[in-house]
Amino acid sequence: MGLSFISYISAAFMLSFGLRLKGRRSVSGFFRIALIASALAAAGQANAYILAESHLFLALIFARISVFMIFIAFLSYLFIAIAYPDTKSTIVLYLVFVLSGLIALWFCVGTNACLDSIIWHRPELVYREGPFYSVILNIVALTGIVAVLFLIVKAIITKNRVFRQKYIILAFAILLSIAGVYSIMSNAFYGILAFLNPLYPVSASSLVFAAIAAVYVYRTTRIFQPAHAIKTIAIWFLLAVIFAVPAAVISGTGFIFEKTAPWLSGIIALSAFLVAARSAESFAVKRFGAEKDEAAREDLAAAIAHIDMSSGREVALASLSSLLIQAFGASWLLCMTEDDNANIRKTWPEEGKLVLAHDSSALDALLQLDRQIVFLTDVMSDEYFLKVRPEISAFMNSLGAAVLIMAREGRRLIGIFALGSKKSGADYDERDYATLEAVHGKLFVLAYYARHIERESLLTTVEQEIGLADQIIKSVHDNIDVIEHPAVIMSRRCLSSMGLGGDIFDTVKLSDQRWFMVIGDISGKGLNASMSMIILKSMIRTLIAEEKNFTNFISRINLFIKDRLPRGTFFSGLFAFLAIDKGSLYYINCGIPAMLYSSPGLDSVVETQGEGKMLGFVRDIKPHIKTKKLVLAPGSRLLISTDGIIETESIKGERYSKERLVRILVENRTSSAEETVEAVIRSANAFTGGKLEDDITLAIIDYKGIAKKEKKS
Amino acid sequence: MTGISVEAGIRGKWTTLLINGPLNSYSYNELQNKLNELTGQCDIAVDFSGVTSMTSAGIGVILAALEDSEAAEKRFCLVALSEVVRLAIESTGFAERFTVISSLKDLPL
Repeated sequence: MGLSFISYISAAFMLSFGLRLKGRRSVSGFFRIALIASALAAAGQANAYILAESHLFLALIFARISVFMIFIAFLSYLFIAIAYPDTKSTIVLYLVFVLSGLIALWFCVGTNACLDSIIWHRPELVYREGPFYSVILNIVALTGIVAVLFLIVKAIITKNRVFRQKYIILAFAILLSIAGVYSIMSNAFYGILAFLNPLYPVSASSLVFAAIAAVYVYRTTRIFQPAHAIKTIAIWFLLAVIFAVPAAVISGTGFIFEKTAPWLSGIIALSAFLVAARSAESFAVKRFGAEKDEAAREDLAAAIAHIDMSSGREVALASLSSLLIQAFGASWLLCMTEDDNANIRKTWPEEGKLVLAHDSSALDALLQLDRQIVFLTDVMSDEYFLKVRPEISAFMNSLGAAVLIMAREGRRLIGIFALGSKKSGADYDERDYATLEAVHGKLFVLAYYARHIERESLLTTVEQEIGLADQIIKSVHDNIDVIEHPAVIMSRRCLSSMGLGGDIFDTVKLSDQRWFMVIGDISGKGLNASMSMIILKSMIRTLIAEEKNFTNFISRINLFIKDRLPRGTFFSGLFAFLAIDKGSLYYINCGIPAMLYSSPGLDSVVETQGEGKMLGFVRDIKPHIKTKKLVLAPGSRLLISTDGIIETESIKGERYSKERLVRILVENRTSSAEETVEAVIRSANAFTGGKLEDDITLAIIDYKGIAKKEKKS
Repeated sequence: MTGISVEAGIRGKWTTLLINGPLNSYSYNELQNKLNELTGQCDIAVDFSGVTSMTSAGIGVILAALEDSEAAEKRFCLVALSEVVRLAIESTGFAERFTVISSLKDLPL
């Protein structure tokens, strides 16, 4: 019963992996079949033992099914060895597979060729072998061995290190499984391996070695470093000694009470286990694990953020190069940026050479990805890249690059950083990917900087920061889809108090009748706020193309601010969709202080913003936000303003306040949107004596309404 | 522009910072520098009783300090909020993120 229990556990383990394997690769089916057949083989064997005492015939059937499933598992591995990663003749392979399976089914289950009968000699189950038992078992083992040979040949032939590692691991694991199954089940070693006979009920569970390797091969797209793997195993072994031994001693001591108070023994053992597990986890995380990696990532992000961009592009990119080369052990860094015609050109260390034409298939392929970081090993082995593999791999090979880090803004590629192979010859791994993801925001800023800043160093000292930000901010604010529709007139003004702005304003055209709009303020001041604003705007444009659900979209933006922007950064503003044909504005208030609405049918100006929840304060914003709808009557006007104007103070310390905005809106009922915006700015300037303390962003939307005919169309 | 003054003190296990003046984009640097120096090293209580006004720049500084303290498993609380500070914090929609107490005398042990 004890051994059968082990078989059930391994069966459940393999079955869960088999059922959870996802993918449409042509060989996916063989992976699933291998895992499910392995699970059924282990479970069949256990069933045979459980049922033998009362239902001999059923037990015999389960035992035969178990042998059949072992064969199917090895047959699947053979087909995986032949076809993985991809093959064009899948149908032929599946046909051969089904045919072989049917023949095996007949021999193993339908006849007594393999197992003749079984006898129950309490507590043992005795199998009476059929006339072809040895032949069938040899065929099973041979199928596995052929699979191993195929994998070894492929490992020798392939130039891809990831695949080579996969083939070797799978071959080794299949060998282990064959050894487990054959040494216990076959009578070829009777006498020599007789001591293994009691393990017969778990012989099929040996398939778990191959199953684990198959899952690894299927899922992993990056190489692991053997040294790192050995180190990890050593660490866990050390942890086991440090924490498990005391736990075992305490549990053992607790068994003194086994007879008098068994519940006490149980509680002591459970408590010892829980305390040891919790302590081991905490120790591992602090000393070896995520916390240490996290600290290294934060250090790198901080180092990149401190690159002195005011000393000019060459110096800044050289600094970045030495940081990344040191952090990843890379051989070189190449920076490429978009030119005015959307081509990608080398920017550093050489400048000017065309790398990707705007209409090239490789650029198109890169833009199709929703990943910003691309490893060549992933391109070659991950199913995700299947459709774009030829273009992207050719592009990376032409550069000799092992990694691409892209800075994208929606369907625009602003820049690419390429990293060469590691000096050590190793491949980039999971930890490198996590580090690059963590610093991607900072790299994006550098790409944006490289794209927009001229080569020459910025000269004056006081104006360095301002001059730099001015160039960037101007390019960001200019890059919007201006609403051009006869029913809508929009006027806006973005003013930065120090030439450095954290305010964000953007409109994105979704269709002729639908526009997305964001207006708000990123906390902080100076260059950092400007950089955060640029990154956020880019992220908004990227996500707007991906995320169809409004609250999910806001949720992702919130998470981005929390995870990717400097600690303490928050966003207060408004996200809205304008449906011009429906005369509706769907919006989520994330802390916009003023959203004032007036229409011909209303005597007064109405505040419509309601309560808002700013982004960046909590990880899960969804429970806090709600989409609202504002029906825009023909002739109505909407004024949206960040806190800059409202909070600005006069020399006497008096706040400008919303009341003044309302007053100007009422006084300018007949004025145009542009004139009203001008009136607000004039008023705010007069109020502060021309010294604005904060960034000001203000937008006015005049909705004219559309004819019914146009609505219908 | 008027600046702020930041006075540091010790009260039991807490390091207290008493701020006087308007906390805005021109003056927040002084508080930010002080908090950068202390955050993560000790429990911090910031006394806002002398703050005459606060903009989003000030909120950003205390949010960063709160998150740094949380990451370092240290306590961070706001003390004696003036009306303007209370309104500024409430405008975020997440006033409950901050631990607020009415007086330095009420600081927990």
